[in-house]
Amino acid sequence: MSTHTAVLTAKEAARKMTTRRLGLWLFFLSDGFVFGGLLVTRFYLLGQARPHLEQFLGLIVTAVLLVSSFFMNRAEVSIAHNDRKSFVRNTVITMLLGIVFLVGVVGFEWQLAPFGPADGTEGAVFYMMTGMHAFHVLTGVIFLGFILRNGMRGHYSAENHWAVEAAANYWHFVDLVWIFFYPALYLIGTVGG
Amino acid sequence: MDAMETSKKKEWRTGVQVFLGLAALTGLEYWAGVSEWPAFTLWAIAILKAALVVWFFMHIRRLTNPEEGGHA
Amino acid sequence: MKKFFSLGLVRGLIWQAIGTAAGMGLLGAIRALMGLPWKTEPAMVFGGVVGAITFLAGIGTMRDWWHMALGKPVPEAEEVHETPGGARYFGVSLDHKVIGVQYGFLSMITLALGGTFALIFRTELAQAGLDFLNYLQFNTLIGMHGMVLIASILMGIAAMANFIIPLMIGAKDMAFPRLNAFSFWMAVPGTVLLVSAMFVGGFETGWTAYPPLSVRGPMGIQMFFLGVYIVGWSSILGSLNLIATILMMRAPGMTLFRMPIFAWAMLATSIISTTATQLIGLSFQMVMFERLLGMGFFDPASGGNPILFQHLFWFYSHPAVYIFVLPGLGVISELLPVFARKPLFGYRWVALSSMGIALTGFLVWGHHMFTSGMEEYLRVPFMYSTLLVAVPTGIKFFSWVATMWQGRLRFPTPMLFVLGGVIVFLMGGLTGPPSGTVSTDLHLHDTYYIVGHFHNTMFGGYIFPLFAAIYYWFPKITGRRMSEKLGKAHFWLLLPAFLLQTFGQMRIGLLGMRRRIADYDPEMGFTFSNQLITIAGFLVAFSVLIFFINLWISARKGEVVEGNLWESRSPEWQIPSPAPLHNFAEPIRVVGEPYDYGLPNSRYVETVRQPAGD
Repeated sequence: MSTHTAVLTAKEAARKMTTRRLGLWLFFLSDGFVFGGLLVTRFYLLGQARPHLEQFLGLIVTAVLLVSSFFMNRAEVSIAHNDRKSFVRNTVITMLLGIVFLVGVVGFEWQLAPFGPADGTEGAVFYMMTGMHAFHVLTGVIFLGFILRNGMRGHYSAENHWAVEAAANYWHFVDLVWIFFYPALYLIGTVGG
Repeated sequence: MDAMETSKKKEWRTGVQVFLGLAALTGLEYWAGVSEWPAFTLWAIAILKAALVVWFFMHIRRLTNPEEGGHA
Repeated sequence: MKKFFSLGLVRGLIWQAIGTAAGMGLLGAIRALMGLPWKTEPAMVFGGVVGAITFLAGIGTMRDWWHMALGKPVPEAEEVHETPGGARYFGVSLDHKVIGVQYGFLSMITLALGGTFALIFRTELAQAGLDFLNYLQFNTLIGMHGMVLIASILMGIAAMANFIIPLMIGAKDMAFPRLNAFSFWMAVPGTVLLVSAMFVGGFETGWTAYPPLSVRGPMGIQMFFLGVYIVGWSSILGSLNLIATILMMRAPGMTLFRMPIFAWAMLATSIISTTATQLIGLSFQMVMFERLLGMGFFDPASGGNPILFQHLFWFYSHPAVYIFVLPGLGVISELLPVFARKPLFGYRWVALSSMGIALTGFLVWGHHMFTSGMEEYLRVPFMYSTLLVAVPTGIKFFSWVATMWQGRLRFPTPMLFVLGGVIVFLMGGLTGPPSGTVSTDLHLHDTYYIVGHFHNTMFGGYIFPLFAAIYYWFPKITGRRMSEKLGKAHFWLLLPAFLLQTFGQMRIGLLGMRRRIADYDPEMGFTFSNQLITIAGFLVAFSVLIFFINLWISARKGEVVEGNLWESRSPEWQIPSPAPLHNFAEPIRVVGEPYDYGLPNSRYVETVRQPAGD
């Protein structure tokens, strides 16, 4: 009889895991509509024109975020295979790259842009899109901070790391948003219409 | 333990391949952007990149396969 | 007194007041350090945000998550023991039944509030000229009437869904009980902020908050935006939870096409509200930023485009109408077979028609903008997509009529409200196509005709079914049934009074009365109709008062009923009333079709007997 109970609980655990994953994906779907709305706003207000931005800086921050996603994936794979040391190392790198991205966007791009948020539609669109995305990166860095702290204390293992999976997926989601925002802000259309 | 080590190496290798693919696509995207290709090519590249991320990094198939991902 | 302050709600509200003041002070201080003068508007907005967060933290909705984030052990939600009693209704509880009742309370309070606003401005409109309100007060009241009742409807739906859905699908609780409590408690500070808009200057725009007027008007609009934003998030998280619950927590054997039909309706509704709600949040957020930071999204003076706001706003606010009516139509489909003692006609079609309405609902928002200066080539496509909604809605009507056909109908109060809902919603449905057709809408837009049409859909699709649901499921909550005498008085006063009100509204609309105006020309000849509408409005309010009295009396002295009062086949009626703490003492299994009323030897659910010992 006890094996029967064990089978039931394993099934129950699998159902719980799928429920959590479904919840997270539904959140992504929902949040995706915010970013979709911002993309619509960008093309509705600016059309084929695109803001005056530093092309090269845009490529750098995009590359930084892409590389961070790579390390995020590595961190998750590590903890799923009980490799705590590698998990900690890769999480730290991801966090640092996230912070570099934030500095690149908020610290450089926002200062270098030839317009402020109150300067017409160009400014409104640019600051709203990058601001909303940067806010998500910031929360992602905070989540990573929590899983780093708990990971260093040995709370996670191959059997038990849902928090890591969730934080990692959130990080990839934020990267996913930038995959669409980058061409929309930097590449599509012509400067000065 | 050995099996675990090989599986980790394998997943890491997938990560590297996907990353290289994404990097190449980003480079192509940049080049397409500066040489003013039509907008739909840029959207196509973005969708391809997104699909790679959703499939390999976000593991969307785990939604239907609860055993994947190493828990429990 | 000490007991009073130990209630979570009281603690939360005190924390919200402290947080609001602290937030305002903090922003003022930062600005002072930067050498900027005091500005009330940004301080109020920042204070409002901080106050909402301190409310949620102060009441304790985030404590467990904080512990999880720090890696401390947190009990599984099912293992949390709550002391039974009235006090847990005023604090954080993880029990879906308690949360359902909490939503219900809040919904009834906001219903009374929103209705009272309507009575005030209806009194003003009873005769031409400005009698006792000024323009700003009138405009604030119509805007608040709209949005407070939208909030009330969202909470009423959440109340029904939270209480009934887990019982109906044989689950112990919702998928994410902590998120569920969090969603509910978010709605409380959201409502407080929304109502506070009246006291910090009001606003002129009505509930739609169109810029550029909302960019320039008084400051109350900011609290309005903030309140809606927070209530919106509450709705998003609540519906996310419902989708996960319906998809993952069903009893064994309950395939999707063996679910009670109400669960299908809630699934369709939740799909709309998890996704589309973000767009009203975004559009309101953009106006907030436009006011605070001068970002030029919508004001043409700074290069923006007000039509964009309308696109973003209606992308939610039209599907929102389907969010409001789908659960109500689900209640009608759920209750009719019980009272007709016949299978629900075309179960699969009804289930899929809910999905059809939800998906078509995403494609029709432009019909609100036929006269607004929207791109002209969009008019006809939006007209056709709008008319397409009539197809799945029609399926529901055919199913209802065919279900009743040759049934053994019984007419207790819930059934009366179901039939009332069908009739009123039919009126709403028939008056819809003229508003959705471009050529007629150009004349009807912004007249009282639209007001009449809209109130028909809301009462038929939400208010009547909501009352039906409360009369029907009240014994599940309290173990007592509501008074039939008062219930019938409620119904027979509400239905004629309401029909008089909306027919009056449509009549004066066709005669040329514009909506949202405080005054009209007595020469137009509809003063008498306006007076009738006002009287009818007061009668509607009086009938709702009877309902509230009925709730109060029946909860304390109503006839005690424990078993399957309505002889329903649904799982929630197979357990005693009031529903016990963890719902099902023994797990259930679904072995048949849900609505095979009157078919001999058919069963829907059976109890799985646990093997004794291990």
